Amino acid sequence: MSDGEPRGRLFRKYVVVLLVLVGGVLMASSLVELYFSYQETQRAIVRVERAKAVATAARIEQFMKDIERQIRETTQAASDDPGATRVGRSRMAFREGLGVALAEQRELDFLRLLRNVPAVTEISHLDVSGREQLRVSRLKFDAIGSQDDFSRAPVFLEARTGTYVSPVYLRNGSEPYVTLAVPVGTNAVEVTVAQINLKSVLKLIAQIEVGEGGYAYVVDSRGRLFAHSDARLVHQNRDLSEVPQVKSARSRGVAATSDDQGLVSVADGLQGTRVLATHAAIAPLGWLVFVERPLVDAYAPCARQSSGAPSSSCSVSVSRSWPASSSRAVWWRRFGRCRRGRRGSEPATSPIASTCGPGTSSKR
Amino acid sequence: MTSRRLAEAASVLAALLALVALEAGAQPARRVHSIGVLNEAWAASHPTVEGLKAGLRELGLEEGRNLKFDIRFTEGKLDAMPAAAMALAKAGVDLIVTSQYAATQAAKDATTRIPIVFTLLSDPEAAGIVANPARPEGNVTGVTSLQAELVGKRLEILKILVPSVRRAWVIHDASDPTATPMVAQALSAGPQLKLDLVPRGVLTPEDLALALRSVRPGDALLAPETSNLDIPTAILQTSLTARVPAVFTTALWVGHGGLVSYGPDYYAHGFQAASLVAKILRGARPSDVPVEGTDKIDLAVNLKTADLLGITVPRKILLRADAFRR
Repeated sequence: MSDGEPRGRLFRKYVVVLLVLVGGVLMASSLVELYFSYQETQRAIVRVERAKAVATAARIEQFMKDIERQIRETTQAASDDPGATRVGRSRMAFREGLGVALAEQRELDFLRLLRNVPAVTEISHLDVSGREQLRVSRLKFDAIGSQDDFSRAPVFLEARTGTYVSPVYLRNGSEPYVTLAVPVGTNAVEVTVAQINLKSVLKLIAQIEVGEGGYAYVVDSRGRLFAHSDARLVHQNRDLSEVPQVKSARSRGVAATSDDQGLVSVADGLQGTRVLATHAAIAPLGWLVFVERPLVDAYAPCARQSSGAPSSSCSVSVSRSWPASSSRAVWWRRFGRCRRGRRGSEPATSPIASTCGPGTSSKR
Repeated sequence: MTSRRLAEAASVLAALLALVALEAGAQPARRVHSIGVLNEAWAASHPTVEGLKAGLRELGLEEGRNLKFDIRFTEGKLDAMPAAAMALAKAGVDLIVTSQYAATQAAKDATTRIPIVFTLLSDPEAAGIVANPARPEGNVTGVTSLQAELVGKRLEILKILVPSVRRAWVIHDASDPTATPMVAQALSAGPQLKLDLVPRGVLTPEDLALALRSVRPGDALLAPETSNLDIPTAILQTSLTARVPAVFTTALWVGHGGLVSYGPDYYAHGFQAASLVAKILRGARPSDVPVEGTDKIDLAVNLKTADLLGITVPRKILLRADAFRR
């Protein structure tokens, strides 16, 4: 009997030491795994958000480039035609005739453009001195030789040296438009000016799927919002130039980088919640496409994991807690999915869908 | 022994079947949305409704599968509108799609609960349908037809087509508040086009007949959008019999012999409205869906009528036209 007591104490000690050791090791490994899992989830979310922003930016850029190309193709400058200089005797008469012919041709070209490019609602031509010579519109009166003076307007001054893109403006309070102007000719530069309806950009933004609570938006060169997943916010045309993520993105310049560093930030979202914000630039236009997801939403898998709840979907809790019998089957299914996902997520192209997360799959 | 095994097998099978049934029961039942349509049309197959159906089909909502339509058309009778609207509201539809002012106002009066998506409404603000198109309050949103805005352009096209025109009659339904901004726009466009505009609001068929009798050779007619009193048909007939040019709001009339039209393409208009309808059926509130302007504006010319009226259609119009009727 007397031998039994110390042996019993020793046994208890062993048990305690063993428990502490095993428990400690398990705890430490869990914490380490939790940390890496947290990092991995964050990176995965950022990759997907950024990919969506970049893809949308590319599509918007392509949309505008196509329109610009079609505008540039419309016509040549009246005073800039090389053929004009080759005529000797009646050069002036020829030039005049050429001018008239080109003006006619231009009108036909403009009409053709309106038919072919639904986004263009109005197109006009400014001569060398910045006076409007022709305007063709879907909604307003056409004008031939209105002589309206644009010589001091930025649209004329800036377009003489390259493509001019105005700040985005709203028509009827809810439809975003932009003025795009391109130079015509090389020696005596004239300018073609088009008003472009950006409804297509609104549609592109509305199509981006950013999970529940997430949203995408576009700001113009001044930092004003003109497209948002929630169409109601468009008409407010909010000035976001002082919002930290927009400010920092603008200060970095809109030069496109392939590097994701610094293109992601945790910030206050437009609705006041903390968000994971990433952006992509549309360099030629000075526009920025933002994709934001609530931070809570983005870190949900890890939060659930750390709480160790039976419904946790990550592998770390497998070794520790056996779930309540009622949800066992569900739990195993999730566990299996999670393991598969984690294996598959290494160079993941769509890591969110494969990580053990909430409804973040991207809809295409 | 064998019978016990049989019984065991049967019970296992029964249990399995029960599980399968439970699983099937757990699947959410496919919801069939019911859409009420209310308009002044003369048939259920109005191009706007056809466009709406096509647009919804593209968005995964198909008639007969997860969608059913309850179409009420009043054949141009505006006084039948309130009763039709009430009937739709009582029928328990999920959403009402209306066309033009009378139907929209009737639907708005009939329900404050069921979402309403209007189409072919010229100026919802002026008509008092929504106070703020960018952020509609209440249960009404939709697609505007920009008719008032396009009046100037319509008159300009008329003038290009028939430069000799000096006077144009703006015959409109005096009970339609959306006609007011249209008339105002027409009057303001007059001086620039050197056109003498004569607005004439009509309330009865007699008024209409009287107004049309005043039209003289060399005049022109500007048709309104409304179907009330069948004004566009009367204008079309006068145009063809009195040989005066008339300009219409949509290509539909050019198909029936009208000279020229400039305005929304009805089919495309319905197609556009489908995206608003789908958003609301999928859970958005009408107040979350801003009012949109029509996307597609068409110019249609009837070359046969042009011949009849002795008009040579200029190249400018030919190049611009989206549709011809030969």
